Amino acid sequence: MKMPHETLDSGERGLSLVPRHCEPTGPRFARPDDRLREAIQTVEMAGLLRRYTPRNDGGKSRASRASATTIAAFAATIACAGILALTAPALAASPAPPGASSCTGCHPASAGVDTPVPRLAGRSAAEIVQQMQAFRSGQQSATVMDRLAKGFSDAEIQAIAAWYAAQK
Amino acid sequence: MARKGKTAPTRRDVLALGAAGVATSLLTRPALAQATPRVVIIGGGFAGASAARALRQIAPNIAVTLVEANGTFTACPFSNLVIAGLRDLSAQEFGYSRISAAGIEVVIAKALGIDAAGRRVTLDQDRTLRYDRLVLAPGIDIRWDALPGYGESAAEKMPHAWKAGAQTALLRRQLEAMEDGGTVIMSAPDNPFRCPPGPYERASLIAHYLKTRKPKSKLLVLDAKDAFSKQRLFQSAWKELYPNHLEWVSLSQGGKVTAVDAAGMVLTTDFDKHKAAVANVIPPQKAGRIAEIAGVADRTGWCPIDPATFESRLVPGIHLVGDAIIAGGMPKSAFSANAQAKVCAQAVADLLAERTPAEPRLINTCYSLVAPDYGISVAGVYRPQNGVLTEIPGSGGVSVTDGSQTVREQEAQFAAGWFNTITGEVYG
Repeated sequence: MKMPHETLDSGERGLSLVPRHCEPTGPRFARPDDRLREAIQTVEMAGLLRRYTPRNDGGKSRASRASATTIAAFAATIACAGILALTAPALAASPAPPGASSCTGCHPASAGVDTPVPRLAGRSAAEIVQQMQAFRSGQQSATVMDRLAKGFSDAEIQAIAAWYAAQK
Repeated sequence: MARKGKTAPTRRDVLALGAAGVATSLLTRPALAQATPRVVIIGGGFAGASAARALRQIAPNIAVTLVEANGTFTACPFSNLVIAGLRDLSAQEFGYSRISAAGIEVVIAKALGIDAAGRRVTLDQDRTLRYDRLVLAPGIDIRWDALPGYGESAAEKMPHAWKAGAQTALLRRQLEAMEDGGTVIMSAPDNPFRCPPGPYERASLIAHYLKTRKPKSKLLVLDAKDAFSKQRLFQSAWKELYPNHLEWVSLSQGGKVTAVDAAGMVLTTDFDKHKAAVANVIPPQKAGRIAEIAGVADRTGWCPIDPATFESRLVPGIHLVGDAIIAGGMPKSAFSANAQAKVCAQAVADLLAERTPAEPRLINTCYSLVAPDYGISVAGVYRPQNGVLTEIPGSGGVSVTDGSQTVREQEAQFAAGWFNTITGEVYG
């Protein structure tokens, strides 16, 4: 079974939800995920994440990798819930995080569009994160989303999910 | 380039540290209200109209004007169904009334000149528009000088149908009028051109028309390339669905059309002369004329841009989106145009508010119909890298080669859903 690649090596990074390669690369770009990071830090400080942080076993056994994945997904869920609770109004009005504005090409921004593709606005962030991770890992089969989910890191997915959850 | 506020903390950063419950846009508005920034967008296709809608939504404080020469937009995606007699052209037509109702000033006029230094656009009837930032969505123009024998009058006999509208209707009428047993010939151009899988979707649907309505007829595709988008998927479907109705001739098999004779309905290649009953010549293309007027097209005929802001590499203060740009790995599609427009709108709003635009991610998804209930797709995720939009490694790709009938039917339904969604977002 393939695992979501970002959460697999969570042991190394102590379950940081903002992988190093997602940090802004230079002074050129603003840091759209500042608020996300802040919220995650707040949640981490509250001890919610630490309680579920796996021991660093190098991710050797299948079982421990699987449980690390489950725990990481759960932690992500908590982080998203935390972001929502903390900053929902600000998030709703904030600029779409990188990648999010493209989604409404297929997922209608408003209700009443004749399409089999579901809306994202107002759905639970945890559900979007879980779906995207399942598409990316291949656990959930898809026609297109498996190919698209592979283009996003955990941190990017969480930011997109939190933003859509905050939309009406 | 004319980007401001590169290093200082941006207003957004400062606000992000403030009270979390206050919408940032509400706070930024009074500062900007001192002088209403003006953005003019030229071109009301998917790219330009998407940019107008997105900018209006992102920054209600900015005055947005959309300039478009035609009062009705005719969409290219799905127009191949019209050619194949499976859809009415009216289903492709959209007006601008909902865009006006959204608070965008829509000006139906032809843009004649751009004064980048004075930040002014000249329209017909001696009108001028001032702007703080200009967005051009020029679309494509046909290179009328690229194929000997093929000019605007030849296109009335051998339609290109690569801009939807009268040309689409003409090609359909010609197919309908053709006697059974005739040879339809399509000429496909070398890269780059609008909608890379488009000629092959059209070939599929014309073959579908011939198979179901004129079974003694045949389509010959003469190509200036050896490879094309979603090739394996198309070719395996053609083998299965249209073995007697579609023949593809690659560049190395002598497929490149070097001249046409519209009066004689003859297409010439290096080795042959082909007589057609109906000819669809898809000629080489370039960015729409306004790009040339503005000085934003380079020697290739297309427009180089900064992949984070979509600002022209050649003329500061002018942004570009859609088929006219050099978008690196991103194909010239309506989905790309819409995705680029939304990123560009955010960047324009950021720059006018002296914020530094974030590094974007963009998605493209292109569906093609091989038959009315048989869809295939290509998808990708892109980011700026080394100055161009680059596909993120490991992402994207085409539909599975061994897809079941159910998967193909699903993709055909997703294609239809996509059309409803994008036209709803942009024109609805």
